[in-house]
Amino acid sequence: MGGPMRALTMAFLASLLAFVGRARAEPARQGAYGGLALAGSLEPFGANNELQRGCTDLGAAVCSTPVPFGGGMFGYAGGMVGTVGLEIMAGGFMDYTRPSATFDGVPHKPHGNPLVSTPRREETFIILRGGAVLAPRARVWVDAGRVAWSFAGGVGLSYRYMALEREVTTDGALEDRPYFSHGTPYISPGLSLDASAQIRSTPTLALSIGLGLWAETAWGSTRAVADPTRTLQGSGKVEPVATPPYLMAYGLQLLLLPYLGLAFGP
Amino acid sequence: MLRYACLLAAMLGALLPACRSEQRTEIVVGVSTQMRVPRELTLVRVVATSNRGPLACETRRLVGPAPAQVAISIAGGADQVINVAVAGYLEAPPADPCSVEGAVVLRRARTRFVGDLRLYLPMPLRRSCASVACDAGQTCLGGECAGSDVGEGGLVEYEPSLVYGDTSFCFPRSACFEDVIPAVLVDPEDCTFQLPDEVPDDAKNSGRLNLEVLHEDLSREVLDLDPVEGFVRVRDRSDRFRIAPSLCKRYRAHQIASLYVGANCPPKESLRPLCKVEPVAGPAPREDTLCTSPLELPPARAAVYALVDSSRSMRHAFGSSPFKTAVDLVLRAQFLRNTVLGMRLLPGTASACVSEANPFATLDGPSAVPLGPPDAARAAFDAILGYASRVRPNDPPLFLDAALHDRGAYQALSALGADVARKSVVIVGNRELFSRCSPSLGATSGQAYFASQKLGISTSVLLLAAEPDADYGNHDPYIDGLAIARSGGGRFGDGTGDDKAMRLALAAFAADVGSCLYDVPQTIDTRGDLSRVSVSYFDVLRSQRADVPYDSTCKNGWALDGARVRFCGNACNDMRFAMSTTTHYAIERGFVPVDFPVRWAAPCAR
Repeated sequence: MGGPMRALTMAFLASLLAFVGRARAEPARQGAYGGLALAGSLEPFGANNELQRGCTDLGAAVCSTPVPFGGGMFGYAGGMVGTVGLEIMAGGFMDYTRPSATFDGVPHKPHGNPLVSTPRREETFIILRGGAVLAPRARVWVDAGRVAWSFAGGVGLSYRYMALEREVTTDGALEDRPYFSHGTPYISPGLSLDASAQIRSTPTLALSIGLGLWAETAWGSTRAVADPTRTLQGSGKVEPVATPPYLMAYGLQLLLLPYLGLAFGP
Repeated sequence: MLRYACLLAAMLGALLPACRSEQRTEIVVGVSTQMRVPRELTLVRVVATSNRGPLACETRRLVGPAPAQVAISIAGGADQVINVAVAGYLEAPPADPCSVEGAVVLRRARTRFVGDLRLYLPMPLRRSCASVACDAGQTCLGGECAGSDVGEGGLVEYEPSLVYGDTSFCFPRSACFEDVIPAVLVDPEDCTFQLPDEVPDDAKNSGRLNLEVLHEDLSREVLDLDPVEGFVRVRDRSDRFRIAPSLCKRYRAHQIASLYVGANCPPKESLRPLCKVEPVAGPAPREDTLCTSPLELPPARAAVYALVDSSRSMRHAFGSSPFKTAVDLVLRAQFLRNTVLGMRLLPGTASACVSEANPFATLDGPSAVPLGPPDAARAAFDAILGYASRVRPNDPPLFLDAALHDRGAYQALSALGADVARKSVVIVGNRELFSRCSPSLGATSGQAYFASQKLGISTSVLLLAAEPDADYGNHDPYIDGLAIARSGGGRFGDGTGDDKAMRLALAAFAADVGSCLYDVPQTIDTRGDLSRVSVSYFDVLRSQRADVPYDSTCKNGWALDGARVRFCGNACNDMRFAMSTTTHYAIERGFVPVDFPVRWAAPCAR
């Protein structure tokens, strides 16, 4: 995953520098500005959850790991001199994913533990993440008639809270009540990059269409709480079911935030 | 600092793989035992060596109650061979920390490290291997010496849940053996057993089966699904299983007293640890503190003389009858093995109404079975009860009073002498339980009372259903039978309802004869302070061991009765209830009744 991320970052920085060069030719503007937007959230490379990182370590035969998606709202406000501004960006986001794992009763890696592969079952998860981000950013504008191109970037902080739910179904009569783990928070430094087109409708109001990128780390301990007593039950029978401390996210989290909003200012 | 470096790498998205932790090359030795801690084991020593020298010598104190579980990690190099010896000790081990001499139980394994993997090597210490010495290079498996090589291909990556019984993967013994059912022996040659029909079909078909063995000292051990040290399912027979050959030898040698089935859970795999049992508040259970002798207290010798009415009204009890089948099954019960049984058919004749010895005083002739051990009696009973032709064509007078005369059946039992602790006459009939002789020899209840008080012989009555046209002689056999049993210090069994009632009564008779009175082997010292001695057995109904306390007054507990042990009061009632219930359960389903081995449990001498 390092390759695509690095390429994306480099392309973004190159574009930003090119537009900053053009921006120097624009007439000077001054004053306060701001914006408000509704954003989608998409994590194209996934959150690196347990099923993504080690499906066979869990004892499963195959896992499905769709990308997390969701949405949120963010705003920014700052002051500008000429085509460059300094702002504070704050937002709240939520996303979720529904990975699943299929266990066929046998381990699928050398020296795998057969106990965790039984009984044959299907496990489906819902992993929810919500939180807020805050980042001081620098912004530049490039005017092109009614449309102004705007680019922002900065480093900030994020607070996230993640929670997980799991359901298990088996061929037999065994069932498990849904497993809701206690949530786990994490706080991370974050990198915010943003590119948008601002279509002016008045001298101080524009419709903003853009794409943001938020990078943060979930560290290595964003785990659900293990349930050592978890069992499948039915018809008077009991079978254990592995309920380890699932990693809900791990390491680099790269979120794409397509958004639509309003921009205010000169 | 590393965290910040990793963060930077993560944010740049380029160096993330470099932050992964390095894998270790280790073997994690998982020691577990179901032996009692600290009564049987207190310490475990793990000694690991390679061809380059010692890798680890560690001694750990075990924490009870069972199961005790310990994990010790041993680092090595890829493909390096490792020899592991795990020794369990009751007392202090040798001073040399790498010596495993003098261990109570020892297990060895030889395997190989695999690069960058922490592999788990299970090393259970089993009771069957206690005091079994094997040559170096060998280990004890199921009580026999065998090669100690463990292919590294069979080892799995270590997880704490493989060792410690505090995760969802531990085997919940209490839940899986909530109700235990005695296994039914099918083939004693290879120890193939059958699941009782009480086990639901879906449990059989889905393989839900666990086994618990009752060792000779009444300790229990859950078996793994393992062809060498546990059991296997019989191919194509969902209702059968077979224990490992080494365990089969122990079973045949009576070192395993019983096998019990739990049908709630899938079989316990050898990788699955038993769930940890939290210590209960208060004093430790007696079985945890007492040393139980492997020697059995055998049932005291007993004799049963059956008087069976062969009148026309009893024709349903002869031939291929439920009664005959039930009798045959009851006589297979191990708790009756020291009982001799005989039989004579009623009716008698008027000529037997004499004051001297009458024909009932001997068990000769075609209508009688001489007193003999159960196996012989079974065949002889079958030769009579199994043939409907032995039934009379009419309902003549029985002359029961002639049979119950002190020179009749009672004389046959009196002749056996004092070494037979229990003597019983059992009347099986459905009519004519009153006196017929003239001049009178006395009322039948009076005769039974005399035998009980003067001769120490009890008289019981098993009343069976009668044909509608039976000749009752204007007497109610129920009242007469009840009077005889009450006067005779015996049991009245009402089998008139249906076959189930008959079997229930038969099981109760068997339990009366085979319970509560036991001989004591000469090697057991019954002198001294007995107040801390228990006489113990496994109560199948409650799925737990029963430790009967000493009670010198013999009101509720056990007491010495001469050279024998006698259960008294509720202690006896409880045992008889368990015995009769399980016996009824067995014969109702066509199985041999489960045994109730009894053991002497005294404070440990150390």
